[in-house]
Amino acid sequence: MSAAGLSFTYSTRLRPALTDLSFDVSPGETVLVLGPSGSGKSTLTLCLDGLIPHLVEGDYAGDVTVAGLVVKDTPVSVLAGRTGLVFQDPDSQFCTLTVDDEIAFGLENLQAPPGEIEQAIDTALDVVRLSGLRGRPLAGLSGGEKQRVALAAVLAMGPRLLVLDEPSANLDPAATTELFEIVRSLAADRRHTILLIEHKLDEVINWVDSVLVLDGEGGLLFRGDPREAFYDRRADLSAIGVWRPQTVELVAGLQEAGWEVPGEPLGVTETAAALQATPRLTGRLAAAGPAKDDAGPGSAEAGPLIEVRDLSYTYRDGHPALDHVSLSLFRQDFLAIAGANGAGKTTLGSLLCGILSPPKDTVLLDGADAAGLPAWAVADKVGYVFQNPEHQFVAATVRGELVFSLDPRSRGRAGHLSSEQDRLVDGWLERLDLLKLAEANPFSLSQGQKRRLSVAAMLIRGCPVLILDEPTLGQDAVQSARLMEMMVEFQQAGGTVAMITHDMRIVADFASRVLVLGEGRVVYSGDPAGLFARPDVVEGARLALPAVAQVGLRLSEIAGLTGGLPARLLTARAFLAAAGRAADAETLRPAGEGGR
Amino acid sequence: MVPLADGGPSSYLGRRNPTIKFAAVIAGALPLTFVFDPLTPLLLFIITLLAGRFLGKLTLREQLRPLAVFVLAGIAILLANIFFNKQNGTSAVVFSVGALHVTHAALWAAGSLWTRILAFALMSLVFVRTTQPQHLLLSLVHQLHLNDRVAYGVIVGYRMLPVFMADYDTIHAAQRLRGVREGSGLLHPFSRFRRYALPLLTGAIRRAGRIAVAMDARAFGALPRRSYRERMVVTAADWLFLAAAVVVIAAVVTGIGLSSFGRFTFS
Repeated sequence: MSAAGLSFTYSTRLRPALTDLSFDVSPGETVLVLGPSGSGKSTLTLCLDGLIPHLVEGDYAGDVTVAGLVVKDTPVSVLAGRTGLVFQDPDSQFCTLTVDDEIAFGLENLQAPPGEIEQAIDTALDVVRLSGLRGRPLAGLSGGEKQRVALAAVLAMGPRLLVLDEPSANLDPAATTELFEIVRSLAADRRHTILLIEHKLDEVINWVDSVLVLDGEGGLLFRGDPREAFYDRRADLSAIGVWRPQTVELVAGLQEAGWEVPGEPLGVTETAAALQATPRLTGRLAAAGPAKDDAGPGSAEAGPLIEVRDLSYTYRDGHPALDHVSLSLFRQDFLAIAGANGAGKTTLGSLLCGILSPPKDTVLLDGADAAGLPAWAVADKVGYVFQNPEHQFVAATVRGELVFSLDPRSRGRAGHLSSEQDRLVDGWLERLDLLKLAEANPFSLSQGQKRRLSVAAMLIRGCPVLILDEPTLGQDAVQSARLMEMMVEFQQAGGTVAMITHDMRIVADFASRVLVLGEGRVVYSGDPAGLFARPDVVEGARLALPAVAQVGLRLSEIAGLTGGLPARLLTARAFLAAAGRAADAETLRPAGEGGR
Repeated sequence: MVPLADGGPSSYLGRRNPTIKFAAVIAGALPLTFVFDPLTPLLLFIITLLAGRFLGKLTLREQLRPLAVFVLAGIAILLANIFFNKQNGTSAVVFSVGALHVTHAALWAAGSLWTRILAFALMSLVFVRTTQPQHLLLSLVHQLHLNDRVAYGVIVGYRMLPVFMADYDTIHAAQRLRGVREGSGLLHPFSRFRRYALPLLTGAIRRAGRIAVAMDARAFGALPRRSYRERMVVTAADWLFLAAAVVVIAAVVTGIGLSSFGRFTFS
């Protein structure tokens, strides 16, 4: 496929979504598409399928060619057989009720004969490794299975070009790995050209052929080799808010500290090998010795803010959600709550903040039984940020959201506040960078702004504990970094954070402790490094080791590092601390140097 | 999760063509609208119950349990008739509780209305529990030439129903947590509508838009006609079933109509 001078502006908007985009993709190539939120990635996918310009209105210029067909001159019915799209949310792309009907849907639209359709269903389910699901209703499938059925539904139409738009965004880490294994084998047989929009880079970086980066205005920033993108153009990428692989961040961190890491390694295996080949590094790591007790900044002296004792919870419909969960949250803790979809994470969060009422004597807030407290008393102690910020907006303006939090009786009108409270609201608006948008409707904000406003509306009340449900979902690197910055500030000011997350990078980089739930039970509770040191637990809870931890383990293995050392190499922060500066290693000259 | 049918093709009723089955339900419901004795609906109720049990493989419990709500309705209907039936003044008193006279007319009217409701509810229930929703829609497309865009619209709406219910619950919880008090003032319903409508509608419109794009991307409506993997056909067995249903219903109605019971009037 190729694009030449492609520009598109939606008829409802002023700013172009894509500007003068030109690039080529050769047959069988797998391209990773990157760009910040709102850079036109999704618009590009619609251009490849002909929905733009045939069904979506706007100003269209330039040419897109897919499998030899000029998109603007080819009807959608023909293009639909050439290009297959898989979207982020499986539930928003299904239009039938059973697996079979869903896969048949596209072929039926193209008037394929019934016998051929049955065969295509079998083949497609075989490719996504779900043959056992034939005839099942869609409603009972897991998120990962749904997304693979969505892929099968597209594959059944026999496309030459496969476009996957953040297909793993709603999946837990294990389901993500399973999905990518399938995409990887599709990429390997070279029968499909694949465009993959994704920000879980470490999972895909080993097998994509090239990278295409869109800038914030929908123009082309970079097209070419992944190594060049992530190493030579590193500064450009981070400037516009594009994620980079964790392994690249680690190598960059080491290089900044003066270590001469050879080559431009991508992926776990290459990075581990390159680090082994780095002069004096393994020796230095061996000399660093086992991990000090790094329990994080949580301070125990004041007694726990939240104590959960032997909490079991069953929903009214008889569905058991939590099974004997115990947990203590102290001041300045940063707790990550991880586990597969449906393991009870959200139930636990809901019980802590009073959305669900816990049984007697199971949840203690500052020593008081939460079951006996009125809702407002719980809300004063524990704030909760929902997965979708829109769900918790109650006022008609951005300022109103903050005003409402300070005084619900105000109904979001500013007149009710004291001048001190007014200053507080203004201060938050400034910190959120939303002073200019103070009178705008919260629904009109960008994804990142909505998220930060929903967090601020909780923080402004001054509750000591904040629980967040998947706050980084769908946020780009810049938005995510700004949110985490808010969290770290809150924590340093004495706040306690509990974050439900699938994002192992966040767990590794920010959490002082991790609680892993599996089928309602606590399967792990402790520091992140301790979790990553136990692959059996990680796998059992359908999580995945973050790439840095994998590099650490691999390096320990190939370089023969032993003792408590691997635990120090499992997060980027600990790894860099263990390595120290290269110049210091020179003076230390440890004996028994590994590597060269 | 799925609020409606699970009835597969495992039973005789499950194998019947949905449109034909629907016609049979209509045939059963029709006499309920113009027969005013309690016995006809009662008999139809029993026949439906037996058909559900032996032809639909539904247990009696499965069939009767959902009708529990109508017990309350029955009591309400009975009370309303005891107090307000127009013929209470002229009809014979069956028994009295103090100054309260329960007339023949009141019992008769209440019994007839209640059994009619029960019979109709049970027919609908057996229909729904033995019919897969996608088969019903396919059959409406194939037999009654329903527009396929309408049919898929209904399926998508049906799929989204539990999602919206979950959304509503989340929004309710989120707003309560923010400190929104569910007041009882006069204007309260309006303010609640505004607070719920915006997030619910934005979510719904966004989802609908995404589904529409996904359907377009798979060539929905790109060609004037589409093929169907499964075609709903009407077999001789279906016609036989419909004929049998009509004969049974007609026999019940005329049988009771001719008997003294049906001709009995309470004036």
